[in-house]
Amino acid sequence: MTGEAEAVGPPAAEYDEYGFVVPAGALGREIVRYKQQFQPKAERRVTRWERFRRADPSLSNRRRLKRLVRKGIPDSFRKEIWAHCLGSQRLRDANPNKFESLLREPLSDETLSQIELDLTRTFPNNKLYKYEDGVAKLRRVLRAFAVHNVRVNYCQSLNFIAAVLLLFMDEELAFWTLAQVVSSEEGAKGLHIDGYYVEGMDQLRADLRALERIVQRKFPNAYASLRREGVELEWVCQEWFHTLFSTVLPIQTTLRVWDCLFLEGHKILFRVALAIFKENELRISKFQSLEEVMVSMREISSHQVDHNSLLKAAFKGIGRLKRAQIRREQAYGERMVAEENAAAQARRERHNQAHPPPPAKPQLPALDNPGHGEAGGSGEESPVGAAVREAARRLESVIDSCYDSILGDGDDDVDVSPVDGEPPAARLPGSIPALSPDSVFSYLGVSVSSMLQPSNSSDATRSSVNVHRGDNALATSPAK
Amino acid sequence: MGCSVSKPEDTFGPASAQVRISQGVGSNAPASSALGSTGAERASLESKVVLLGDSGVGKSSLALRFCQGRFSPYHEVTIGAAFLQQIVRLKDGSQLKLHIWDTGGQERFRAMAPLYYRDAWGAVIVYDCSHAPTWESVKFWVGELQAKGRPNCCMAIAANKCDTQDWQVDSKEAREYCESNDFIFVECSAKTGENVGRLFELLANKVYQQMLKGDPR
Repeated sequence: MTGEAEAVGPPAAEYDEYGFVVPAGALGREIVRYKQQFQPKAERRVTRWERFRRADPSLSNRRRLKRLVRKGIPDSFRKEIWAHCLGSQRLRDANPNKFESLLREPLSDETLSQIELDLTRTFPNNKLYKYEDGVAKLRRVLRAFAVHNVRVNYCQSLNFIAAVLLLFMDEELAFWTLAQVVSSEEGAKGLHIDGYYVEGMDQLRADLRALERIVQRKFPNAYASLRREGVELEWVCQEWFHTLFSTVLPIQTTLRVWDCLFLEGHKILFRVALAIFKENELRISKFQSLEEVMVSMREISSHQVDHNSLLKAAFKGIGRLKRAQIRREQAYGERMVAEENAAAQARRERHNQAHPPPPAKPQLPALDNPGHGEAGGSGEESPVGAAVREAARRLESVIDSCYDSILGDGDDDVDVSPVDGEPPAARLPGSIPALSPDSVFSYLGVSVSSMLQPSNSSDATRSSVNVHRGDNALATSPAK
Repeated sequence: MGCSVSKPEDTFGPASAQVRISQGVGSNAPASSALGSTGAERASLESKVVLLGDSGVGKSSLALRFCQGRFSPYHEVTIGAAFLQQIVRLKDGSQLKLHIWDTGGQERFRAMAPLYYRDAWGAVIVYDCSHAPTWESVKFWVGELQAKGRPNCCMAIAANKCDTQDWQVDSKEAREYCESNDFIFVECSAKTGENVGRLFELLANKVYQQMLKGDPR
């Protein structure tokens, strides 16, 4: 611990055990102090984990695993346990040459240059990514992922997630783990958050709406304070969810959050976000200006040094938070996003009618669905808009009926994911393999493949937003 | 909703770009220092300004240069949007506090952009004059703002990285486009600091006049 010496200049920086520059000033001192204070606990945990691993090499006692994970995985076990929880080790073993072969596949110039652009802008405060060696690893993981997950390809935020994984894992395992974090190809494991990273980001927007409703209910004073100053919750929380907190919390706290997230799934994002509100409720309730909210919320998240107390708040402090409740709020969020998309589309169309676009502008393709094919020039709603809205309406009813039928598992503490990845398809909403947009729409009886073709058109892209959303929504419905 | 507008004491004089930056408030400064101790000491006017443009054109760097007077070659990728602020003192002594929203640039983040620009009084649309495709996106953002932004949102087009040896965008075309649309056009460099102050000053000036006229909505 260095006091004043840290502030001298970037080259003389002190690094923590994960290669991050220890922040200058009071925050850095607090991190170092907390680490020392936590040390005895950390050592006890290592002993407990060693005993557990010896007694249960296949990690079959899930209850015990969960209890230990919630108290934090020691650094020396993280790689193995993360890979186990997400099923990425199994994927790697099953696909021995996949990573290398993905790296030989071509990628578009656009993707390559975006990845290149972001490599040097990913945790520039971490030692590993100051040197070409670490940057090259990150490049390969992101490129392989972009080939592998066609729908997501590359999206900013994945660079940060991959970079944290690489602090613990070799490239190949980090790649499979990233693949599992984003979607799920192995049993019931994985977070199923593809929709955070695809065009439109509908799932992210819907989740933020859901979070907003829960914050409003659980912390009415804090919420009222934000609204009073005209702050949208999304302004504050978008980055929290998108980078899985990795750019907003101190690294030690991020890792604790990820331990639970990778084992217990997506709802942990909600629990941790709510815990941040819980831990700072009084302060947040007293904000008096927009700038105070924005500056202080940033400061609050970066000061969550006491990871133990944050995690305690996430599981005990915020009270009950049932999966079913989150699902209900997500459904609400999805409806709001669909409405927003439709309104934006309509607004853009009105604008385009008033100011005809220049000829270079890409045109919307016609639908091959004869009923909607020719809208003439006068219609207020484009055929694509109508089809998407119709699809959204049908999806809504599918979602609603699904919720009623599958969400019997209200109890939050019930383990629903199996340890070995045998998919308990009928029980767990998250376990259904994602359907392709085509199958979703054939199920819905809407013909959309033609309208998706020219994906470089901004209008067509906008229209495809609901298609992706539909894909997600159905991915959480039970297998018929 | 994002900006609270209190009535200015003085009327604004003849249009003038001669404004002076009085005081910077960094995004990392304690929130309390951003506020005067009494309401009267606060900037009389606040205004939301949003930075838009392709990934890597230098939006964050422009904001950082303007608000904190520094440049970092390796600024972290912006996810969502970052909030910064700076007070601009206008010639007649009134102050305009700019709330600057620096947005994420990857095309995919465009879905989130309305969250940040929809109630903005001003927008800086940034392109990289050493990278031609980024100029094309300028027109996209102009269209977005006209369709979904605040009516009469003041726009400034910034040709960043003007210190480059490798010009790929013809400034003449950009300038003509801006003149015909009544947008501010400034060639600037966040790296050297050239014209960065001027960019925001011109915009603050225009926004101020717009605010005096009142919201057309």
